[in-house]
Amino acid sequence: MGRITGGEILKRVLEKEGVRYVFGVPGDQLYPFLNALHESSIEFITFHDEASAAHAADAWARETGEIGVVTGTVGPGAANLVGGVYPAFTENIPMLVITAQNQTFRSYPDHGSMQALDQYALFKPITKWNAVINSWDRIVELTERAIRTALSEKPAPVHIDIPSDILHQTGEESHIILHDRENYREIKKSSGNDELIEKAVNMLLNAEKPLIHAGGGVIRSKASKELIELAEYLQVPVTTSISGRGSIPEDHPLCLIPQSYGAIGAQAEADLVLLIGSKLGDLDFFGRPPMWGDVENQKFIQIDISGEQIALNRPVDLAIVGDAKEVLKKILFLIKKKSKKREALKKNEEYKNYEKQWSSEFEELSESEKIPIHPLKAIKEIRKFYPRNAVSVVDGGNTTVWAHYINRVYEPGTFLSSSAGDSGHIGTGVPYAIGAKLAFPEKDVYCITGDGAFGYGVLELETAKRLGLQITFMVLDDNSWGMIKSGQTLYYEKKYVGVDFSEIRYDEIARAMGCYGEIVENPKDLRDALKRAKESGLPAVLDVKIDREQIPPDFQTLATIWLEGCEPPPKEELKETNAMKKI
Amino acid sequence: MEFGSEEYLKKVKEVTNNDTKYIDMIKNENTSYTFIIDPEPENGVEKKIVLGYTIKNGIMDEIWLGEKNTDFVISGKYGVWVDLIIGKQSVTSAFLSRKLRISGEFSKILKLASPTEYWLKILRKIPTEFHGNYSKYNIRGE
Repeated sequence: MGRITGGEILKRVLEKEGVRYVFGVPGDQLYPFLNALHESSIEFITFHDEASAAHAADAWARETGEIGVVTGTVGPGAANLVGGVYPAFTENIPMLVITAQNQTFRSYPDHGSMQALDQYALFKPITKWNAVINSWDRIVELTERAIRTALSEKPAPVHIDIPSDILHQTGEESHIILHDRENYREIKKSSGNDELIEKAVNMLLNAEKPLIHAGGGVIRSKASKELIELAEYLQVPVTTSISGRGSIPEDHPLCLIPQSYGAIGAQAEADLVLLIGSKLGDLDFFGRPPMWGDVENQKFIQIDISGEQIALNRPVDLAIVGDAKEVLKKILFLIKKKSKKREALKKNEEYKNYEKQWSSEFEELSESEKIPIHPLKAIKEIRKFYPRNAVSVVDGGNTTVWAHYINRVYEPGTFLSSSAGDSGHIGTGVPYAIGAKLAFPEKDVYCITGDGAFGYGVLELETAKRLGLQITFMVLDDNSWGMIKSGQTLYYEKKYVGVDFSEIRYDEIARAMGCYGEIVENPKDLRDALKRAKESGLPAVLDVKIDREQIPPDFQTLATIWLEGCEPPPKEELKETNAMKKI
Repeated sequence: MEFGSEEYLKKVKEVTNNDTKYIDMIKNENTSYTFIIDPEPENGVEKKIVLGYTIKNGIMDEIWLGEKNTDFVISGKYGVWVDLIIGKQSVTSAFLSRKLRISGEFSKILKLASPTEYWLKILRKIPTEFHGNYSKYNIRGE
């Protein structure tokens, strides 16, 4: 036994936890930790920007169910991490954020050091727990505690801030006692209270029009099989939150695509909702009428891993705190014991028909052969090109809305998009795709992104190239912040402010970094371009020049919901626009 | 023509049943609606207007002022109805933002959203005089 640094201890705790990658940007305060990783099963993946590194760690955690680990150095490094930690926090993704801090003798409080920053305070609002580790002897204890906290109950990012003198400090190796996972954290989740589960079963069997609403918790607990089995056994329609997409295939006869007429109708008309792993957030209309039933007429059973999430946005009639998969297993067992498998219901077919009616307009537009290319045409082609189990990453404003219409999701863990989630954070596309491909090297990964969103992570194409990851990035290029421009078109008489870019050749940027790049201007070329991109074996960018005049058909509806409570522009300023003329 | 008057309703029925595209869009529909248009004294609209109509196989069969039992009851402030008619707000957005309250089968209402948007466009053919402060949005019609 010899003497080891604080950085070495940190590495050993992470190894014990089974961490495969540390994502980050290096810094000199991190030297001892980086040096320790030189001899490790853990690979350090360097990025060009800390936020991108955090997004990649976030994607890794979403895809594997393991904790994502990201690091940045003191001051600007830590500050740049914030944008990447925030989406993980809003969407309950377990992440360990490690920042280096200036030496203990000159931090907390700082007295004018270069790069000084109160990182403890900075990360407080976007982490579940954080700590400054100001003693070599407490690195194991506090890092294990951080991991335990990130993964328990409602998962979320946690943060440890380690002064550089603590990372550099050496001590006797024999003083360090590491633990296996099961010795410092929960390994198996709670399966819920049996009495409450029995009550839930009776409520489900007695309901006339039950509905299941599945959130991201279903995906994270890997409960899709049980979800589908329950829905099929009772012939209950299933709606999902955006983060729950993929928990049931979107072409399943009982699945209703989020926000489609079918889904909203079923949500409004159900007499009982089994809500699993979802907080009913903004994109679920907070569980409010008219998109959901009145509290008096619609009962709710909520299953959630965290008691804190119960009745967050709507009162419930029965709350079960437990892991979705474990609770659903018990529910299924009792249901099968108490009742026979039900026949298909005509009402469910009607909901599916309403959904088809909702999507028919989009399907029609996706057949357009016009130049410039209609965004839906491009999305249709890329979805058609890749198999059902491909991971699709979606990023952007209008791009996310267009993709929602026709980019179908069929399997758990095959959809990533923080811009369709609670953070609405654009710019996650490239790093999310990198994190997803590292998690599933055998799967195809494609990314549909707007050009504005792509700009945030464009340099990470080099990261993908360095790692040898074939990912196809389809950039829907309208040379603008398209969503904001759409709003200025519809509501402010095209008085554009801050929404236009000059022409950028994203395919050329890609080639400059050793990636594959191609510009696509004719819809007829899309399929062959996708083929060439995939066959290149490289990260590939298809710069698809899309029709800049197109505005998602229900943009006005979305804007009304997002800006609820805001005074609309005065009617006097209103002019009939193309979108309004459209019927 | 005064919005919500007998004369206005008569014209609504006429333009609706003369529009072949609309008839085609709702050709298999059999349903009935009540619209409750709530007053806004602060904008000079003092009276509540209640009207209803039935659709039989895609044709507007009957239209009336007053209350009757119908499949759907849709209510909202006068200004919201004005927004819908002049095309400032879509029907779906008015529903989803809770500016219009609905009683009836919600999924069916959503299914009929597109034909209803089109129908509102048809109504813009009618010269319309709105009440109170909303008179500044009067429609010249065709």
